[in-house]
Amino acid sequence: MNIRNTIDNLKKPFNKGEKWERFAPAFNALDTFLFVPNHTTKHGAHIRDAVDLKRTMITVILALLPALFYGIYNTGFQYYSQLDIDYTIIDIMIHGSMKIVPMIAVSYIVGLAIEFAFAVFRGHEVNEGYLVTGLLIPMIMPVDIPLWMVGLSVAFAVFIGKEAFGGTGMNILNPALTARAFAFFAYPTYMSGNQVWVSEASNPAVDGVSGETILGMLASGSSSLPYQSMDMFMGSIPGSIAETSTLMVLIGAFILIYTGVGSWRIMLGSVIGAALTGMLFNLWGVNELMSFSWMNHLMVGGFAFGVVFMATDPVSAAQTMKGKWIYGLLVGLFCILIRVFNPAYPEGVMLAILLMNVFAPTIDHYVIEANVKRRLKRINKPLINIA
Amino acid sequence: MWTLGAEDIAIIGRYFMTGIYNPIRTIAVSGPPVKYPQYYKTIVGSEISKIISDAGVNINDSLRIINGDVLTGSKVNHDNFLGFYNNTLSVLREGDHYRMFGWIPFVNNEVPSIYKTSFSWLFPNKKYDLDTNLNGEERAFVVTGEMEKVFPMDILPMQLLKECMAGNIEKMESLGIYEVAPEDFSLIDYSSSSKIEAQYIIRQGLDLMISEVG
Repeated sequence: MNIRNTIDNLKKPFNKGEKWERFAPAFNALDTFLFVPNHTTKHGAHIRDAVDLKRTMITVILALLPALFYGIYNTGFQYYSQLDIDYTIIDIMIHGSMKIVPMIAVSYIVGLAIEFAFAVFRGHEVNEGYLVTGLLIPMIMPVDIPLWMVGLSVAFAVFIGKEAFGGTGMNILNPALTARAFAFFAYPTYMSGNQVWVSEASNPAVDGVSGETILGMLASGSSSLPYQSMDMFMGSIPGSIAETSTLMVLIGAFILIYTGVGSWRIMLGSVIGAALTGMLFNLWGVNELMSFSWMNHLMVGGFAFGVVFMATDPVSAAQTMKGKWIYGLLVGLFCILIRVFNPAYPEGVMLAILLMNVFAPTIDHYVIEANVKRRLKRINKPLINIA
Repeated sequence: MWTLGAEDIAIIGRYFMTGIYNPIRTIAVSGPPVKYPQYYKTIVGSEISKIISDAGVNINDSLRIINGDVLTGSKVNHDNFLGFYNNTLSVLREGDHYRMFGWIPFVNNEVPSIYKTSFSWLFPNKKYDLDTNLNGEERAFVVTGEMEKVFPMDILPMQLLKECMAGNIEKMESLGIYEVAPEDFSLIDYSSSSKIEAQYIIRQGLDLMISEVG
C-alpha cells in the first residue's frame, strides 16, 4: 500500500541506530494510530486476541460521544432560552461548538505534547491513556472557563496526576478529576458560584442570564425549583458542559457495560450507596438539601456522569472484584454526604471520587489479605485435623 | 523430575516383550496452513520438515512451526528434529503484516476476539485463520477484571503478576506462586488487552523462587 510505503520511508531516521532514534516513540504513536503494527509474538502464547488498549479507549470515547453532543446542544440551549430572542437549533449548536471545541483542542494538544515528551524522555511507547482523559477534562469544566486555565489544569493533571507516578497504569488519582480539582482550588471564582454554569452568565455585557445550578439553589435554601424531574433526566439544566444529561450518560453506560470496558460493579455499587444515603437524608429532612428526593440526587450535579465515566477508571479505582463493590458503595455514600453537609461544595462527586481513589489501594489491600488468609486456611486444614 | 508419556511406556513394554526397540510416536499435525490435519505415525527424532510437507504444508511460506499447542508450545525451525516430548506440531502463518485502523472496535471480525468490542462472538462455530500477529503493542496494566475472567483458580492473577515483576518473594509466596505453572496463565497471555507476557513473567518468578528459596 502506498501509505504504508510512505510511512516506512518516513520512519527510516527513527529506526534503531539512526539519527533520531530517541524520538521514535513520537513517530510510532502516529504510525500505530494509522496501522496495527506488524509485531509478532515472541514469548508465551503464539496467538493473541484482537483487543488492545487502543480499542478499549476508543470504546470509552464512543460511550462519551452522546453526552458530548448533548452537552454542545445544552450549552447553546441554556444560553438562548434565557434570552428573549428567537433562535434555531443551528444557532444553538454553533454557540455550543464555538465554546466547547476550542477547549477540547487545548486539552488534547497540551496533554498529548506532555505525554509525547515523557515518552521520548523515558524511552517507552506513548500509552493511550490520554485519549480518554483529554476528552473528559473539557466535559467537566464550566463553560466559560478561560482556555489558558484549561491548559494549565491539563498540564498539572498530566504532570503531577499521572506522569509523576509513572505514567498510564500507575496513577493513584483520576487525571481528569485532578485537572478539575486543580482548577477548582486554584481559580475558585471561575469554577463555582452562581454565574459560571450557563454560557455568558458571568459576562456583564449580557443581561438576563442566570447561571445557578439546582444544587446551588438548594444550598442557598430555595425550596421551589424551576426544573422538573424530567428536565433533570434529560439534562436541560445548567451545569458543567457535558455532565447534565442522565439519559445520555445511561446510553454511554450501556455501551461500556455491553462491551465489558466499564465495571458494572462500581456503577451499581455507587447507585446503591447514593440511593441509600439519599433515602436516609430524606427521612432526616432538616433542610432543603436533605429533603431533595434521593431519586433526583442521582440525576443532578454530575453524579451519573462521575459514576459512569470517572469512578470506573480502572487504574485509579479498586482493582479486585470484591473491592469494586466496596469502592462503589463508598463513592455513592460520600457523594451525597458531601453534597448535603457542605454548602460550599454542591459538587460533591469530584471530591468523593478523589477521596475513594486515595483509599482504593487500602480496600484492595484488605481484599488481598482476605484471599491470602482463606487460601492459607485451606492449605493448613490437614494439620488442624491431626492436632 | 522426569516424566514419561503413555506411548513411551508402550515402547518399553514392547522392548521387554519382543526385544526390539521401536520408538514410534503418534503425533498430531494441525493448523490453518496444514492441508491434511490428522495423526501421523513417525519415530522420535525424525525431521520436522518431512512430516509437515507430508501434511501438505509449503515450507517456503512464512510460517511458524510450534512444538506443542499454540498457547503453550515453543517455536521450532523446520530443519529441527522431533523432540522426545513432542506430541503435537502446530503450524501458523507468521502475522508480520499491518492492518490499517485495525484497532477500531467492530472491524476486522476475522481476527477472533473473546471480548464484545468485536463481533466475532456472534459466530462461535466459525473456523478462524489465526496468525501470530501481536495485534497491538505491550502496554502497562490498565484494564482490571479481564484476567479473573479467564483464570480458573482462587488466586488473584494480576496481583501475582505484579509481585513477580517486582521480585517480592514474601508476597509471591502468599499470593500463590507455588500453586501455579506458566501454562495456567496461557489464556491470560492470549486475552490480555495490554499484551502482557504473563507466562514469561511467571516463569521468571518461579526461577527466582527456585534460586532464592531452593
